[in-house]
Amino acid sequence: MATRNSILRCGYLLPRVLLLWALLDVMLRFAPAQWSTFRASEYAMVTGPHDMGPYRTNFTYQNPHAYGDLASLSNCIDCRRYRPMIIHADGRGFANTQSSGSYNAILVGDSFGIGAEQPSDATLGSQISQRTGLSIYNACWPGRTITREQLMELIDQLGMTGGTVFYELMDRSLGSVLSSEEDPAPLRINQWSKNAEYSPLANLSRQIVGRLHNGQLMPNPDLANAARKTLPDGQTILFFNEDLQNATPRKTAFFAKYFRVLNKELHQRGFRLIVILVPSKYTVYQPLIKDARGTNKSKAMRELENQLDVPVANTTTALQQAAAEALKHGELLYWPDDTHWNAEGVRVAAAQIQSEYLADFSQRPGIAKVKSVSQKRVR
Amino acid sequence: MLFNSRVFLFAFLPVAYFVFWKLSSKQLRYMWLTIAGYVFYSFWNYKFCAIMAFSTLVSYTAGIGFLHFQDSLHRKLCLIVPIVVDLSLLSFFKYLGIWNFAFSSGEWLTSLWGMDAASSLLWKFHFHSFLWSRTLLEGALLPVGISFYTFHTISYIVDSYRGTIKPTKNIFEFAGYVALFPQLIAGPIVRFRQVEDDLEHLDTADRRSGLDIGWSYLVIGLIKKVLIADTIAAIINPGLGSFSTLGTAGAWLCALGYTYQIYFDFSGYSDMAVGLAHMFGIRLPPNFNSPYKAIDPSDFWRRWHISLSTCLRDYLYIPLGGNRNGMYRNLLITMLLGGIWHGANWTFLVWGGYHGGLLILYKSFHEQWDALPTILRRGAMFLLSIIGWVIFRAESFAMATQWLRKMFYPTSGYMFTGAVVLLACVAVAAAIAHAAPNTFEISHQRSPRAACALAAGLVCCLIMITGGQRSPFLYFQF
Repeated sequence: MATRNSILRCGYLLPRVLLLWALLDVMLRFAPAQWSTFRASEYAMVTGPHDMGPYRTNFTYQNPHAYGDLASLSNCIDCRRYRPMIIHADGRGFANTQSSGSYNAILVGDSFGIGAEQPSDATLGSQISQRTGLSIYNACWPGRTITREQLMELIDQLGMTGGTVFYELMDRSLGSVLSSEEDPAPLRINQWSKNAEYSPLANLSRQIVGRLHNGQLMPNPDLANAARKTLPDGQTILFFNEDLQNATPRKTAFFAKYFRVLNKELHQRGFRLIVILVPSKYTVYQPLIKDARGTNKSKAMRELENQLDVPVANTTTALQQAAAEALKHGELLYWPDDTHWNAEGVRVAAAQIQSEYLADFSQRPGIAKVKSVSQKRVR
Repeated sequence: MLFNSRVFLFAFLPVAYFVFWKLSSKQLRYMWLTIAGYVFYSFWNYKFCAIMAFSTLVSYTAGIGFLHFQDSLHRKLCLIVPIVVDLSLLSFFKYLGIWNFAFSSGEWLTSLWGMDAASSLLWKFHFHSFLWSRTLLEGALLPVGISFYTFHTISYIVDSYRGTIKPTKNIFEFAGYVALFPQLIAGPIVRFRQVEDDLEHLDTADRRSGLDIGWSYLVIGLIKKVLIADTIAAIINPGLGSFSTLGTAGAWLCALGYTYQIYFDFSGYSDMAVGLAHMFGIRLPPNFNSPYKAIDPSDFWRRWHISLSTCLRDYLYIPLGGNRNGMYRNLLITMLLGGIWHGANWTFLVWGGYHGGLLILYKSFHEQWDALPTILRRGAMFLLSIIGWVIFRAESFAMATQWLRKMFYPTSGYMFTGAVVLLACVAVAAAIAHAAPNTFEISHQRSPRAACALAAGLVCCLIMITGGQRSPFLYFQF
């Protein structure tokens, strides 16, 4: 029997186990991020402090065993494709190797713009930069885009008086719920609460629980978060479930209006806006998959393109064609376990953007409004 | 806020505990228990605190009335008015949906009775008007725990009327009793007289004496809930989600799984409630006494959800006439009402009727039943309780009949994922439920080895809780 003064009493030991757990939770928050995260985006979404961008400022995230977001979302351990990942965040928290410099272009967008798991010289920003000779500041944010207000603030901070803004818009945005009619992402993340919520210990515990709920030992409740399809060559590929939904006309109209307003504001500051329309992985691969239900996203992207009075680089057709071609050699333009494109996908998109940019530049050396080449082709 | 949530374990409980023991006077401790109870409750929906406060105030006023009035008329008014108010609140929120099933049965009845077109139309109009009022109130969700605190307040009023207890003049003592967070949401249904003594001596309670026993109960309850009940639930819920594809083996596994899940879930919650109350110097009565060791239906109800069955006995069965006047009728009414107390659903009513029927049969043939060997009676009672849980768990009467048919009529079908883990969990659960002493039978002055085992269990629970496997207690919905 435990005596009243023994430390091995329930009343002494058990509350201290709770206390130790809480201390461990706090201590692990100071441990290197790659210990408890599977990729930078996950870490970036929840940690701070930031100045403007998504990442911790002047921060390098390095993970030799990163894997895809869809494998994580659907807790599919077999689907994981491990790869190294490194991201440098600048003094503003954006994915750039340096904070200052003379920039003449800004890339606004989501994780597709950041480059996901690409090396820094293979991201969309770097690829466009190499192809156009522009010096591009990457202002992309995983899962959302910066607001108009933040963009103007960034332009002021960078001391830019003119140039080009590339705005990368993914077709998922035409189907997802908007938080406001004013701006695609006007909500500022409450960093205090996000920091409090973020727990490496919870991440590690989730991985343990995930091993139990793996779909074999126990049912996997996260399995439905990703759609699993088979390509004609037998490869299994995961898709984000939301990408199987249709676009809504209201969202198309909203973005047409949004880009008009943004273009006007940028025009006044001496900038020109080039919109990059990026298809989701499902839009690219759906035509290649037998019995896969089609969506109206390609059509919605064309409609948006037609409604815009700014140059547009719609990368949908180029990526669909390149994907079909690459598949003949058993290659993919997107990671099989991730929503994002791989280096080859980025290269195809950058080539398309380059041709749109050069076509627009040759027709309009200043900032006068002209139709893009792709728009002319459609019409 | 769930007992098995991080916010409860790491924030609410430590704050509630340390502030409580820092306060020295009884009055301040009552006030703190009341505040803590309302904060705890507001995590679900702070708006519903007003309903609980109103119910508390009405019952407290009735208690004061009993102290003031000695004449029969006033005392009866003090009895009836608050009970009507409390039951009206309960019916309004909990049984609004009952009109749905009354309507569906109404249509069936009109056709059965060959009612003429005009009467049928009138009947439909009548129920449509109720349904319309329901749509108006669609936003009115069920306030969690209303069934439990309504029972608390009603038992207080009835006991005061009967003179079993002396109503308290201290509003915070009463409010602290109603809002006592360990038992606020899912019981046990603690009667005022059961905790009156501890409440009266709250200022002289010994913090250290309740600590060992309190933590022991709390962690045992947590292990029962998180490691056993939730693991079973994680396997059988998807299995029952594709119920139509189940075969006989799958149907039996689901039935067995649910039988143990509901026991470990609810008794785990009750153990945690008892442990938490101990930490605050209050001793709650046992709510479960190894119900699956029961040897007959009467024995089962003396062991399962003891606080509910004793309330039904004392406040319903005995006033109806008990064993003396219309025993079978009284049993059936009591069990039907006990069933419908769980919610507005046919399956709960049928489950109540089923247990009422079992009790009647047992009362009629108890001599023959009692002559059987104990092991046979125990096995048969367990089988009967499994059948009851199938009815209770089924989403509809049709599902219940199909489920039972699959169990007793060999059907081929698919076996759900996790059957092996479920079998292992069921084996562990069965060993504990049928062979081991229950939480109230074991000593909580534990050996160092037992304390270390509980600590290891707690770490496993924390991994599961932090890792996201968390589900509400089954009895929260009732």
